Amino acid sequence: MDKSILELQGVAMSEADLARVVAIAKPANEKAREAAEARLQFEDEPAHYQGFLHARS
Amino acid sequence: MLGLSLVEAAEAIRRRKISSVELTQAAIERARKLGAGLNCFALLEAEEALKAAKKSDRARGKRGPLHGVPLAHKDLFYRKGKVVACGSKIRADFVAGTTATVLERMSAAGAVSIGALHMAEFAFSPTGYNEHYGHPRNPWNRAHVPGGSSSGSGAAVAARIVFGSLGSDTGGSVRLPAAICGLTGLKPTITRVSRAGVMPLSHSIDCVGPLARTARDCARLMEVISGADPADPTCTSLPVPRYEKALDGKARGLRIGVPRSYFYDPVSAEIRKILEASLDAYRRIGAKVVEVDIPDMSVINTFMHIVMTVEAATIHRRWLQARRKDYSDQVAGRIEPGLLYPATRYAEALALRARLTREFVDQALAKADVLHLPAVPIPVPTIEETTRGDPADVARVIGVIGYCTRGLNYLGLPAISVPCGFDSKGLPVGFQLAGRPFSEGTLLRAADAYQRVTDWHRREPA
Repeated sequence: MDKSILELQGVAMSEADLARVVAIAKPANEKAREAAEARLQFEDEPAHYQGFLHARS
Repeated sequence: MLGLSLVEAAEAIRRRKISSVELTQAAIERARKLGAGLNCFALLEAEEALKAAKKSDRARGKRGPLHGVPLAHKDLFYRKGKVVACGSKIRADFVAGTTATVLERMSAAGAVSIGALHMAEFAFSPTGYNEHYGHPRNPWNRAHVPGGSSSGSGAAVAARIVFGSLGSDTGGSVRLPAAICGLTGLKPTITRVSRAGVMPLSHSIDCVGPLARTARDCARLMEVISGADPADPTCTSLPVPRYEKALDGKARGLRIGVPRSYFYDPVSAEIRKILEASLDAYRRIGAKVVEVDIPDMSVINTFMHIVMTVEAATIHRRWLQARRKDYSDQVAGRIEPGLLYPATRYAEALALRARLTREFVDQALAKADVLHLPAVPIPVPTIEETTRGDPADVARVIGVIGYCTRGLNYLGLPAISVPCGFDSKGLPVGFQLAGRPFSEGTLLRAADAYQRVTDWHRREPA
């Protein structure tokens, strides 16, 4: 997570702003990655969410 | 007459005890008297409102359920030909080319719009913070926040200017101002209400819902705005229940689950006592209160954060590129993390949503019909506490405000915020009831049953 990502996005950010944003995004990224590695299965896909909501109504 | 509930006002008009012009005139006068001090209006449209009210009074034949009732809504619902600024500098000149489906439905039901209500910049603050147009104020104490992001909605309904308002809820933006201003506010199940013509914050999480004085008011508003919409293909085609008719005042046998972990952890002693009293009220009317286990909310909240910020960053990226200075730092700072997450992380967050929601429902609601949760775990902070001082303290206060609301948005579940008392400074306290997908009827019934044996929702700011 560094300036190269922001270059890809085309958004300029000061060093201080980037440090602040990275401090939020880095731990969230790691936590989500760990959770996905532990739980995500091949069959999981976003469309199932809609189906689940309707099935449980 | 502005002290009536929305349903009482509609019934008074229907029985011709009061005219729409009288009510609308009173609402406009009150808006002129209090609106500026509370900073709750983006735009007051007195002339147009009175014209509409006169038309309502002249109308013959079948009348809609909101006939002649003066209302106003958050300034992110598109109104064709009108500026819809969304509390931002970026869209200060944006003229909408369409009208939001929910506003069309409100008009078809006979409602009179008196203007557009102020809000947090792009719906991004749980306090109502708005650097560009000033912070809206809490009618119970103007030094305190009104909650956000539907801050003008909370302030205007609580100040008895309008009888109800529509807001949007992506992380708590209906339920927080409702709780903080002493109102009832419902976040429906994702897809229950059309979002066509609503400025998005996060398209897979945003919900539109009502804020009003009572659960019955919210039931009436929900019947008006819910249902399939060809303009919003994500909107469900499930039939809309008769929410209001189902309000029977009964809570006997209702199973209320109280989570053993997470939700009550940061609750202050003062707030806890008030929340426990609300559970006692439910026990007295025959509900069963049971402790329940819930899944790890920190994982749910992390995925919520990723989905919300990535979708927001997708919407705002080009503006951030060209007009970063036209954002407040607080808002840009909340959007920008979304620029940094890999696409795989976002896709994982969406892919796991069904699994995590199923686990939550199966675990938390296995032995309960609804969950009883705090709305805001701490006493309502002052505007100063959420804007000045050590940035870490400010961030902590802002973060804890939405602690109990935001996870439910990722899960897509419905939740209602209900007023249940006041803290030692005289600011409102509310609890939430959350339920299974599309259980809005159960939540409204449970909230209505509570409001029949309590009077917190009837209290008015001085």
